Amino acid sequence: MSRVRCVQSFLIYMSIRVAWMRRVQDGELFQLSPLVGDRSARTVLLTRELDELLSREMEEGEGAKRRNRLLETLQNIVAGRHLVVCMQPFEADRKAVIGRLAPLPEHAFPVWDIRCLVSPALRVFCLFVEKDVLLAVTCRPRSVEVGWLRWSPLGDWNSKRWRRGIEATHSAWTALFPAESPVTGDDLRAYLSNASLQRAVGRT
Amino acid sequence: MPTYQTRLFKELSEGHNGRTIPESTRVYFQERFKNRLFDFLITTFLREEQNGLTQAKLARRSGKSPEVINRWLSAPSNLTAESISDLLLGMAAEEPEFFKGSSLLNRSAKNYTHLDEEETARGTSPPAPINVEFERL
Repeated sequence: MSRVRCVQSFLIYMSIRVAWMRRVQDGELFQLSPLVGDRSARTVLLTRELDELLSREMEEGEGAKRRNRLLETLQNIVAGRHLVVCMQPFEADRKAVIGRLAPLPEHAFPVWDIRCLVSPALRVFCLFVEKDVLLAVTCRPRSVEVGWLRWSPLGDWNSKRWRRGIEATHSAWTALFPAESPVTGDDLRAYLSNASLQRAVGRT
Repeated sequence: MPTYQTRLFKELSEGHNGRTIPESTRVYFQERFKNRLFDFLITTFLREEQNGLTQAKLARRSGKSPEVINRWLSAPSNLTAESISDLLLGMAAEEPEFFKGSSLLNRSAKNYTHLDEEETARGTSPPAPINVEFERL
């Protein structure tokens, strides 16, 4: 890499990190804490919607159990444990915890989802701010109504609700980081450490 | 400490005479246990892959079908103690050191993030304070 390109990439890295840290300090984003005593090997940034969802009081029951599973799914990412990722839209199976969604034609970059597969399945729409730093924007039920979420189930892949989830994520990014782009490209190592592709783990 | 943390530890700290630990808390730690176990198994498998292990070889060594091995190594699941033992024996002739008890109570927040490590590697100072998380704790 030439000196100029090296300096350019360093400046880009500096600016996005300064930008997201400022959003955290300003209370626009919330940094998910790992379970006390765990290392923060990755960062998950939450929107107000998600922070409120994880923090609000809930009566003991199915909703509280499901929400705690969601919390552990997100904290598992922060703790830096191994993640299986699917980068091919529509091809994620039960192995993949994170999948890339098909980009909308009008958007410059594709959105991702964190896949919480235990029934009732949930999807957390997200983007990679930088390597090992995810911006989690909104959580939607996958197929069935979930009383404690205000969103209707996403349903089929080509449904308007999927499109709305992707649009909401794209809009959140543009509002938070108007001058920056999320991580893009096909190299998994640019997105996450300690992760493998869905197919690589499955090979015999 | 964020609400979602205090909620988890509320009943845990009550000791042997405390109330029943709520099911939602138990579910959280069940999920965490499964994720940690999966991380341990997949890390061991990936390490042994460097030494020539494949899922087919593991299936043969552990006396299981390739489909079963594929399922076990695909995602966190409800593995039995017998299955875990078979997997570890087949992968690396190991016993699971993973099962060492460590108290969940009185753990101190680790003053570490992956960002520190990157800064050290780059030989640069952080662009801004990074202990935002700990201000909230």
